[in-house]
Amino acid sequence: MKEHYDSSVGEVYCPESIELREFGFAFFIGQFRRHISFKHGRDLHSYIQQALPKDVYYSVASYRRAAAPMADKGWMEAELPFDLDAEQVLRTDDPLVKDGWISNIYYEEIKRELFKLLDNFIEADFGLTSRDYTIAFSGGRGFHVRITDRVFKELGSQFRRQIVEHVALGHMPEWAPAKRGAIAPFTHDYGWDLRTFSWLKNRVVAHRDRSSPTHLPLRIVSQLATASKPTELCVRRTDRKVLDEYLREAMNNLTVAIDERVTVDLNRLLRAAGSVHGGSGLVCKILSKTDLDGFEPLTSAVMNLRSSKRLLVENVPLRVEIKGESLGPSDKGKSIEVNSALAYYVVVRRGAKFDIKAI
Amino acid sequence: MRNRCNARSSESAVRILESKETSVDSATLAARYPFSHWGSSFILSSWGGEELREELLNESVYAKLGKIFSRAQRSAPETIPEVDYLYPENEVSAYIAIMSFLAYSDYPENYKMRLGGHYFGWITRRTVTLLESESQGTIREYYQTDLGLPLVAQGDIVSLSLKDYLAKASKFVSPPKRTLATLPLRRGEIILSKHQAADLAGDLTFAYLAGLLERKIQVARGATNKPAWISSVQTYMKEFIPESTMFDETVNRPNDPTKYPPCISLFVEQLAKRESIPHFARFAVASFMRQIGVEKDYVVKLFTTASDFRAEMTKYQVSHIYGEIGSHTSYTAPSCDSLKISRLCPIDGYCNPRLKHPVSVYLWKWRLAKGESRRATKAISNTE
Repeated sequence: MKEHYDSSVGEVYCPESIELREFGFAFFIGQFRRHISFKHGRDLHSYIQQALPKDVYYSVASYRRAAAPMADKGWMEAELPFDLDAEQVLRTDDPLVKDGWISNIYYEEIKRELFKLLDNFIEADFGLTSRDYTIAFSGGRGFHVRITDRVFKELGSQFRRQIVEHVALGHMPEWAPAKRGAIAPFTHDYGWDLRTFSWLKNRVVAHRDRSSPTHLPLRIVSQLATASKPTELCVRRTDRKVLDEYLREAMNNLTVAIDERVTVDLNRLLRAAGSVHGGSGLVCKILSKTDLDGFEPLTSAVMNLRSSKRLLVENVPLRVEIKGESLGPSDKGKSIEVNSALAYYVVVRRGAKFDIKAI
Repeated sequence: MRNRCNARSSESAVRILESKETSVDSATLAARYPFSHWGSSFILSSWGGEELREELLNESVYAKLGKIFSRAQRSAPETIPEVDYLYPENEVSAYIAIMSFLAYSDYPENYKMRLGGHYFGWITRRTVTLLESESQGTIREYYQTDLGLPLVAQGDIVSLSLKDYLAKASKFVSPPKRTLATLPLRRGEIILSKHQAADLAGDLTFAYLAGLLERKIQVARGATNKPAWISSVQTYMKEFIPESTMFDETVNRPNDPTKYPPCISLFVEQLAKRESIPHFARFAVASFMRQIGVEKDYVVKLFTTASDFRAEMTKYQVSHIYGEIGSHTSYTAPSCDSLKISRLCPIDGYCNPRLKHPVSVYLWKWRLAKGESRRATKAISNTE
């Protein structure tokens, strides 16, 4: 950690109006210190270099007195954060993911969800542009997005909860009576109704072309094929049940499983971009939307270390490659010298131990 | 509560609109929307005195109201001629009278808000019906002047900036009923047909009026100029509103675990089995119990079986939820949607698609049981 911060502490991101932010630090001895504020970025950097914290966090909120105890801080506003964490986003109980062993394939899946959040919700629904939000690789199992637009920063928890519902729960169409005893699932042609309609149309029409069974009555399939907007679709009352099944599937596919506790929390501390995630050894890195395509955490977010360490490999369940060196299941029981970034990554996940004999 | 003229609300309103006026004068609009700037202008021009929306009204307005009331008392209902029920003076004075009554009466404050909720619910439903028949210009004027939200016309439809909407709606004491997920959003704009614009206006009007009443109640707390007629109306109201209903939002039903919604049943069961349950689930249990009128000690006892039970901490947290310490705010149980997004709802869908709150489900189950026992009694009496 010292080696990394000696050369790269300047990369730790100093948020806008840093003096109004609360900072928190976790240390290797298990201590956590918070309610700390800095007047300037250089103060933060020198604190990190001296204290060498395991993790660095700062508040999404701005406070009148950032260093005061919680009750006296004087909340002013808070960025609107989204946390996409592997376990939730992938809806998996995979123990490897829980332990932080995340393969690039999983990272790609999380990125797809992140694009969904950005394209379908933040940009298409909320009308925000890349100037209004920042994206960061969390340094661990996912990504953070912080909306920095003024109106969104002033929202209270009730509206933040609505945003969570909008993104993570979706909106099942509100069926309404239509002409001649029929019913229509969609009441307008935008937002969730449009998204669900488009999904339904693609799903059903694509299946029809491939002659796959869709379980939908043909009359609905042909209606979907000809309807150009959501409100044009109306079905028989008896068709509601079967269409509802598809609509539920649409919700599962179109929603993004963000961590709702993070988004609604007005006082959340989030990892500081540019700092090292003590539990993974990867750097929390600010990214632009265009960076995301080629971003691979194990290549682009590794610590800036030149030294190497000898390890006694215990159990590395998947092949991990950092800076051209790799460790994997076949290395079990071996004593291998690898670069410090890879060594840290594997040791913190209990996949190996530092080889004391070598020291 | 509702004045006689308002009683035949929506139908008469629609009847009037059916005449398809091309231009509507501001007095008519004051009658249709007495809480709006048109109502305010009507007061200023015909009565004098302060702006309608001010928290306090002056003596001259109360005097004027008194005159209207005394006139009304002389008229037996059957002698009131068939009139335009949206007559501006009737509508505006009714609105002022109701708001003043709600602000200054001796009812508990949360009860005033509940009564207000009934009135606002009714008047906003009427507003929606009326706005649907207005011209787009009138709707835009209402949004701009009364709700502070500029609408942009795009042919038959109008658009509203999402940021403007959020900035405005988030300032209301309680947010509009319509959630973000239900709004027709497109690139930061809410795209509304005339019908949808009217519908959303109703929702925003409700939130606006609720916020206004809350401010009026705050001002009335320390006011010395309580109008004399408030007490007599309150005495009169006793006939219609039994004092037993003036509880807070607790529903005060006997505690019957068989009628708990599935989520609460599960949490209670897990606690009894000494399983660890998330903090939010514990909060849901305690706040649910508070709302159904369960004693605090019973709730603390529920948690004694929790694996990490600490008596002092539990008592402190439950007391907090019961509003006895800290901010003295009594907490309400989280809604079904909140439980769902926290992945704590044990079922797919809802217990009842129309109900989105565990307490509502509990009440519904009570009503179901009541209906069943009534049917059973009826069946027995029939067989006898």
